[in-house]
Amino acid sequence: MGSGNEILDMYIYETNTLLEQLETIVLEAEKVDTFSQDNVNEIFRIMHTIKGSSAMMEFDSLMTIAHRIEDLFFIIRENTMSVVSEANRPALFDLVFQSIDYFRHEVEKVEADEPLDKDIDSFLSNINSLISKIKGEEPAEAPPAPAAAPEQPAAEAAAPGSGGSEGTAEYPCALLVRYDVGCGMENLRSFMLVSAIRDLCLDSDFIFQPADVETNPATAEAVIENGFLLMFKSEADREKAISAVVSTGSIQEYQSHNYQAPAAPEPPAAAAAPAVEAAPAPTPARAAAPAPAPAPSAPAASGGQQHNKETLISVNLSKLDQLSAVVGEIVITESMVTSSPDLKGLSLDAFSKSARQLRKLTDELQDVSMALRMVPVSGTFQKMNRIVRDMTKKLNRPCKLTLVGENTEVDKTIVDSIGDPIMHIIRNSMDHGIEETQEERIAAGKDPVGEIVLSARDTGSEVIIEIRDDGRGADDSAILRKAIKQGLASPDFEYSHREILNFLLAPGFSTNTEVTEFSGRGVGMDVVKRNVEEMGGNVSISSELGHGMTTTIRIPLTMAIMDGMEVSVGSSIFTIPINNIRSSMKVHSSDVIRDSSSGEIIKALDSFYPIIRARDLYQLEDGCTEIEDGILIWLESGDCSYCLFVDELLGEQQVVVKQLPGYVNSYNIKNYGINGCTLLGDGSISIILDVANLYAAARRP
Amino acid sequence: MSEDILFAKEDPNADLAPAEDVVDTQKYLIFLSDGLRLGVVAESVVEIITNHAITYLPMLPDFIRGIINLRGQMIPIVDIRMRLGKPPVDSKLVIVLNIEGVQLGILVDSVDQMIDIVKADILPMPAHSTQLLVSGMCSLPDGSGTMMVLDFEQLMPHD
Repeated sequence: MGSGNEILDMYIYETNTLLEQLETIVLEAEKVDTFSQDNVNEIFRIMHTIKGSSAMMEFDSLMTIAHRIEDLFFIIRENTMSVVSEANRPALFDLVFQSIDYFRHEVEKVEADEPLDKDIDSFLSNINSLISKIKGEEPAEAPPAPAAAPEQPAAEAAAPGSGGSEGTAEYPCALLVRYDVGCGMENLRSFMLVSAIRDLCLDSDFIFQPADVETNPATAEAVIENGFLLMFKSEADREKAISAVVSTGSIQEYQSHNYQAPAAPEPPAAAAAPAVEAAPAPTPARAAAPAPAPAPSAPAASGGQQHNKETLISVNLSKLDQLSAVVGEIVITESMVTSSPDLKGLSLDAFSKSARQLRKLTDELQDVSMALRMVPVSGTFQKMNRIVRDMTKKLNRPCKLTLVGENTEVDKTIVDSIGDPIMHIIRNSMDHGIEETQEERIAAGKDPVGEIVLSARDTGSEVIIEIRDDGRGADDSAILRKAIKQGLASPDFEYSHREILNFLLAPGFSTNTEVTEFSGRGVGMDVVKRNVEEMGGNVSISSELGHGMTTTIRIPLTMAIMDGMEVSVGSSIFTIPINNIRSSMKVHSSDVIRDSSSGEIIKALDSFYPIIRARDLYQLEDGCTEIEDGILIWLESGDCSYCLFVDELLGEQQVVVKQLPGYVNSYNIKNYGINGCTLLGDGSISIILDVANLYAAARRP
Repeated sequence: MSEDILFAKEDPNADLAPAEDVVDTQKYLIFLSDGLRLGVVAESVVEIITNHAITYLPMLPDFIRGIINLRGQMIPIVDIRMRLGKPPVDSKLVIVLNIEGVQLGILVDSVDQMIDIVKADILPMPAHSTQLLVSGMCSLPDGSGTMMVLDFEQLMPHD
């Protein structure tokens, strides 16, 4: 079953990818309330692939549905979107969304090895009724022009070889392929050939007959008798196809024919269908803008998708992990070799030159190996469109989602785990943030349509993901009341705005008393917070009553390699992540303010910050005790901001993060802000500090 | 072992395998710590290293002296003397062990010898013994003293 499972895995992966693509297209299209011709072609292609692979896996119900939707888009493709009247469009979009959900659901069942839903009649009849609705209007919109719409069906119907073998007006370059006598399965061979050609030419740039070689085994006979006929729009495509034919086995011969224009030229009525007009001069390489596009905005997007399909490979993540581990070692070893103490005092010109070259290459290698694991967040972001759309409909609260910085790249493992937290926050924003009625928004002087902005940006050391809504914002007093009721806050204590917002992230806090379908299911923002912290990131909320709320997720860009500041305390060396450091300062003991519990406080930039002495916290045997002898480093992480007192700054360095052995981790030293370690150039070990946990440890009595 | 027996059967001229060979023995590495002769199963010994710089890690029990960098791998070091509740001495001798996949270094005074011990000769500790870190003991065949078997279970952290 090993290989069978592989095929199944491939099927699931491929289908899911296609469904994601499809969803993106439909969401985009719904905004402009129409499908561009490119969209239609793409949807047609997706449905066709799903149909084909489902048939191969013998998932008949999936195949049937895909087939009918393919039919539906065939009609639209032939007659353009104008065939679907305004009134029918919402139904069309809903239907496509329904089908996406249906496929997802069924694929999940396939994955879980559960029986598929055989009862697809009602769904089928939905599709059929929409098809007949559209068809009902068809004659009025597009009269059956002799060349345009009926072109392809006619070609399909025509017996191969009966005059059709020389191509048609639209597809003038014909290619007739004959298989070796008795090679068998001619229909499947033909279909494989078509698949191969599809990788080289656009789907819409060629047709073939018999057209149903994929599904109809009887066509094998026809192929044996008349050969398999391919017709292309351009000579260039045929050239490409010939290369595919040549590399296919069991081909006896192939012949090229060119279509001779009939005496009477086609009537210009053909212009009704833009697809016909489109016959391009030699199509440039596939990666370039595909097909002449009626909608100018679409080609870049769909071109990108098609392009991606060919240039992407999937690699097991563990192999990449291994690679980055080895590269990390190389980087360290390189600096150990080139700064070896044995070289001191020697003047080695050639060696230094090679060493510089080596350093340059290892740096490059490191960049490349890190880039391998990076994927754009766009996939995760796009999924949120669907959530906003569905909730907009359900809650009847018009709201739009704006995506900013979708191309920001993050480590693959982070992309995988960031989806749920973002989804939860967006649901919260929709459910609790955006005002319930448009009147309420208008009264507040806002755009009646709510807006949620999901943005990602890369600061070089961390990725910041922000979810901002322009809704009601957080009501401090309501939150505080709730927090007191939940026993999270004490009624006779003054809380700052920031502290009150932090209650939202506390376990067991949920402001909404009602449980709705979308949020408030007992799991709250604390789960979001925990998930993000597991990735090494942190969450913070800022909000102003009446002006919406912003949730910010900060995640270190990659956990394997980071920029650190080496500091010393006595004989110990610690590494502090550069992105946590705000500044460092030398202070005089008279600047230090002491509070009643013998804590120390320092004033910096008009604010007061506690001082934590690393030596005291970690009970180290040596290190500076006088504040003048050492240096204060002002650190910040999430909501905590403080100054750490150390002996000396040793310098900035890029370090490879190593986990501490499980043996010592079992003593919970992570709770003391000891997060990992790294090897320095001379092979010695430096301890990596976690700024937030260190602060928490110091505050613990 | 089974190969030896097989071989013996195939060779009619050879005598039966000597009785000792059938006896279940195990190699032990004996080291000294605070005057005790402690033994560890040789199979679990990865290597013996000296003079490696130990990096102190704060907030751990005293007997964990820190970690060392062994060819890029971080290995925690447990001082056996301190684990036994004795004051530390200035030793740099570390035996790196692999205990069910966990790499652990133990800091000892000196390494004594490698010896084959008949498994059946290892006796349990007397009841009510308060000796830490030991799971059994046995008299050495050469009469040079008693070996105590280091108890890996007690070396592992417990929560």
